[in-house]
Amino acid sequence: MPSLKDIRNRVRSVKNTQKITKAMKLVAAAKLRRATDAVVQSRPYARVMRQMLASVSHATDPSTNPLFAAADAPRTCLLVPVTSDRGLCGGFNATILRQTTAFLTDQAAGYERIVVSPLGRKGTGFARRTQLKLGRDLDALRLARHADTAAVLARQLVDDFLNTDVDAVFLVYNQFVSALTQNVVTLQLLPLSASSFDEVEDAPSDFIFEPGQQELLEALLPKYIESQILAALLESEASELGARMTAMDNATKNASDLIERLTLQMNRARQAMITTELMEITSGAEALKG
Amino acid sequence: MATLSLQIVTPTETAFADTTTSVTLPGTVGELGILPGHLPLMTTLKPGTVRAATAHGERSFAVGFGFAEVSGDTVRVLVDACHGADSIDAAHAKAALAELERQISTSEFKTREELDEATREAARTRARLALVERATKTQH
Repeated sequence: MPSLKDIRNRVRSVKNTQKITKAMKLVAAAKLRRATDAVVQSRPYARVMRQMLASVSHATDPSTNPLFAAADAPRTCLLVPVTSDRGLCGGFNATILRQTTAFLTDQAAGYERIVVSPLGRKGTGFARRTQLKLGRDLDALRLARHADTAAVLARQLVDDFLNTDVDAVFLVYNQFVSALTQNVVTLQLLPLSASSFDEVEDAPSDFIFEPGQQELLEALLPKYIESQILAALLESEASELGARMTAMDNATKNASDLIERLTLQMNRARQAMITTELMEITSGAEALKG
Repeated sequence: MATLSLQIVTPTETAFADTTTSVTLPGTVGELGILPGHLPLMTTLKPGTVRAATAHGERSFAVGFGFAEVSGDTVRVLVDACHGADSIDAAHAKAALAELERQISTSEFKTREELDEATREAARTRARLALVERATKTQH
């Protein structure tokens, strides 16, 4: 049986931990609002972009563009898991990394070589620990604003796709559903598939194109890839904050339970001490009476 | 009266969405005036000013690089940056432009990409400045 002092110390330490988890939960909740706003705000851009691409590909066959060119026998594939820099966010990183591992074992047959270039410190650490084949250090390209990061990454990935032996690029990221749920999504970024723009409504097919269709397509496609990366980054950030909020909320609740249990134990220990003391006094008095 | 619905969208927000009677766009090939009933058109945009005649008078925006699609009675403008005249700090923009121009002229960039990005940013900043200068001129 631990002494009264030991229990008191534990209660104090749990209370301190609870203060931290509570603060982290509040911070995550406040940031989450902003992050989900950013996700919602970025959706019209992606939507309009798809509509425009649909209109262009209506008028001209986009598959002649090199970004659509799928290799006959794809050999090298670049996988980009989007993870967080910090932990204490529940299963956020674990699910991404599990998916990454699953991808490596599932797709290994299809691709001769899968190169992993993680984003985020957690992914980088994972890749180093498990000794995956590391590609270019994309993590170092990150900038303060997601939009800038997306632009740089898009340029880099398109360049890798066109000018190196990379035949396909995949993103693995968490899609934000709610603070409680995140969906892990594996998105094929490159090569593009023409079918992804097919769902357009009755777009007029007699567009005037300035400058020309090909030039327009060449300008639009990298921007489209950029918008997809940006969406993934924003979704991932919102998911991270949501996951952290939930995890910290649970931690705070667990701490409360623990404090309650320890307090009970502490009171019992104190009572036991008092009882023993009383017994000693009364038995001493009895003995004196003798 | 026939109207156009104009939408200006950036990666981070919908900067403008309203009905207008005419729109002027800074197309790469040249300035474009769009009136209701325009033929379907798709164009790339260069940094410049988008002007829209709305029920509350003319609205102007300094935009960056992007695209525009005119289809039916909707005009969709997709740009990497968009600022209204009142959200631009002229002094700040001027300082930023001077700094960018200095960097470009002394070519203190490690990679070609950084230089390209600086050149693009300078063009965007110039478009913002042009809008502010025009706005202040009309006020006096």
